[in-house]
Amino acid sequence: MKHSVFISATLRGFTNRNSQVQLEGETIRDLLTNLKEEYPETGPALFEETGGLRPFVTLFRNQENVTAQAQWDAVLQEGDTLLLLPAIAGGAPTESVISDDRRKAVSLDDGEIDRYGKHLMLREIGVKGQKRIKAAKVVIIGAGALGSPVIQYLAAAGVGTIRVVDFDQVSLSNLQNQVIHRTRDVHRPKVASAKDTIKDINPKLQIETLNEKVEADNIEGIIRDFDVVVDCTDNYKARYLISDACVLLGKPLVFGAIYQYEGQVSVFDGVQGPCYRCLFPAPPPSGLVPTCAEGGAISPLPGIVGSIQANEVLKLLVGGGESLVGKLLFLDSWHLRSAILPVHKNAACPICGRTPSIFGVQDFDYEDFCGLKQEDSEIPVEGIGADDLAARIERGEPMTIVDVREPHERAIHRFPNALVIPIGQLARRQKELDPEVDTIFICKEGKRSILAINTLREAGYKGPMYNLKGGMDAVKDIIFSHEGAWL
Amino acid sequence: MRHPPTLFPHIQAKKLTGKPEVFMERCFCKSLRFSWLWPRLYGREETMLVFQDHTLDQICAHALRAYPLECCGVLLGRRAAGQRRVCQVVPAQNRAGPHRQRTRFSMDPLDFVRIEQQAEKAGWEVVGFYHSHPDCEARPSREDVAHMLVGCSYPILSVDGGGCRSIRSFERVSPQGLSVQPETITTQEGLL
Repeated sequence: MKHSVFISATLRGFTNRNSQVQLEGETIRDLLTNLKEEYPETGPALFEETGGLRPFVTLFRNQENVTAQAQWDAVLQEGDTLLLLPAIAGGAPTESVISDDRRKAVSLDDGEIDRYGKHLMLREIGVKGQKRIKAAKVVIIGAGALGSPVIQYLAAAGVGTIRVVDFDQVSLSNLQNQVIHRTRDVHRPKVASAKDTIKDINPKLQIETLNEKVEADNIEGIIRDFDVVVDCTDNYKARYLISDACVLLGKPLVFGAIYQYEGQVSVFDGVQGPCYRCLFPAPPPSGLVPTCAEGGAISPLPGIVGSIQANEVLKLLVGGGESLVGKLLFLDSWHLRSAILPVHKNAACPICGRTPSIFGVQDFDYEDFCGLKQEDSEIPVEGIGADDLAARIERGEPMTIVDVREPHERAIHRFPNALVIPIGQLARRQKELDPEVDTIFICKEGKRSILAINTLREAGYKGPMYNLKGGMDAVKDIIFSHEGAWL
Repeated sequence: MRHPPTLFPHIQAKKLTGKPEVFMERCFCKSLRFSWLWPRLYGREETMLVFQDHTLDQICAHALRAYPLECCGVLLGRRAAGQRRVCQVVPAQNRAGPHRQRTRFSMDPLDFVRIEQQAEKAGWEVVGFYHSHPDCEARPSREDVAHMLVGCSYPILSVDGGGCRSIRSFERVSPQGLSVQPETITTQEGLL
């Protein structure tokens, strides 16, 4: 028997603009199957993989709502009309990333009610919110400056499962701002030290540690089963990699960054808001922005920024408050200023825009993108080791030592007779260098001296140039046989 | 406070004040005269939602009347290249459960069919749906996105006790997946 199916104007794009179609069928299910055959676009557009209708479509039989699949075996009577209509509904974004089923599956015991009392007293959190926090799984990539406050506060708040990922070991210079590590942890892996601290704060949590570097082949496995990802890394390659993986897997990402006295925090939700690439489509040239080890950072700054990150994670888990989705919080701790800048989704973003071009992290070359690869056409920069330099000084060989560091760095320790030329003035002052003699460039870690050598090469200097590998950090341990050796 | 550096040209702010007076920081004049420039200025193709006559005032007023509950309604008008024009607003009843209307809205599909048929008789198309978020930001929740239709505009108004705070509009990219794109909103006094 033929029946009429009326299609709302808003859905006629899939039925060739027809507002009414006549289809054969005994039951509702027959009619829908024939609809999908007659108009193949309706299949993927209006129906889920499971066979049911997508959330934005509703089905009526005369005046009765028959959207549920269970009702589709009803036999149709003569004169019955099916109406395919849009389901117009929605709600305010106060939902949490933890579903109600997961929340109901956990319970709080007496110890926890005592411990999290301050959360339970808050109207916006309460028992429901605390259960969501307990049911949650958060992965924190980076157990360094930013990771320290994030890990500690999330552990204190009672996040049920925490995974910490970091490949590095604790070193003495970390202790200035990475307060999760202690002096006795120097030379231990950072994740081990972090795990110990969490166990002391809250022994009942599930802690997983991964002492590895995030790369394209392991990032998806690391974040797949978790609810929220927190980016506490310190380099562009890891940031782009983590952001892309989060967008592809649909995970919210809480981002934080620090530099000297400034900090930034944002929440990237690839679904409704912008992603990291929308905000920063490309990284700066490699070597331009120093890491904390080169540029420095004031001690409490990562504590401030990381605490805000932990706050955002809790708001995502509990579901409420004003989140930083689509906004960037910019802080300056030296002048004590802050600003919340709106960030818009970039329609041309290669990963979350209208026409994405990146479909998997394996397909994208992050090293090349961040300028970490040595180009083959570049002449490699020759370096000499600290021991070589010391030997040459002992032998009294003629050479010019050029120090390209900043004045406040030279105050720490220096070569008294080195030529001081800041990088910006090198091209202009190349006349001061003697092309007959070896010129050795020194900076703090050996990275800016490479930049200096390349700058001079481009400016046309032809003399032999060497970079001190490891910079001043490598040399300061060497003791020379006589004072004149420091000349 | 010193102005943050304009390193990121695609970051702008849109502001609305209490009474429904809409102005957007990045538009140079309120009329549509320079509208052809806007997508090129920032190198992006955003579709445009144009509120003609006093339609924007009408939806703001509806949102204020309904506060603290969510309001919803249908936007009727015409489609043109790269834009959707709103010529008429049809406020609708929020049919969500009585205790849920602060954070949920829902329209009866049969109500909607009637609105759609009347619109067709008058020569209008359904170009979108508006709703409000009381005491909450003007951004779509997962539930909002799951119910969005491709080809329609979804302006969301953020409203609190003092008035309409902000409005942002979105459209869905494809019926599969939950990806949305923002739209530019503009008003235009008088008929074209």
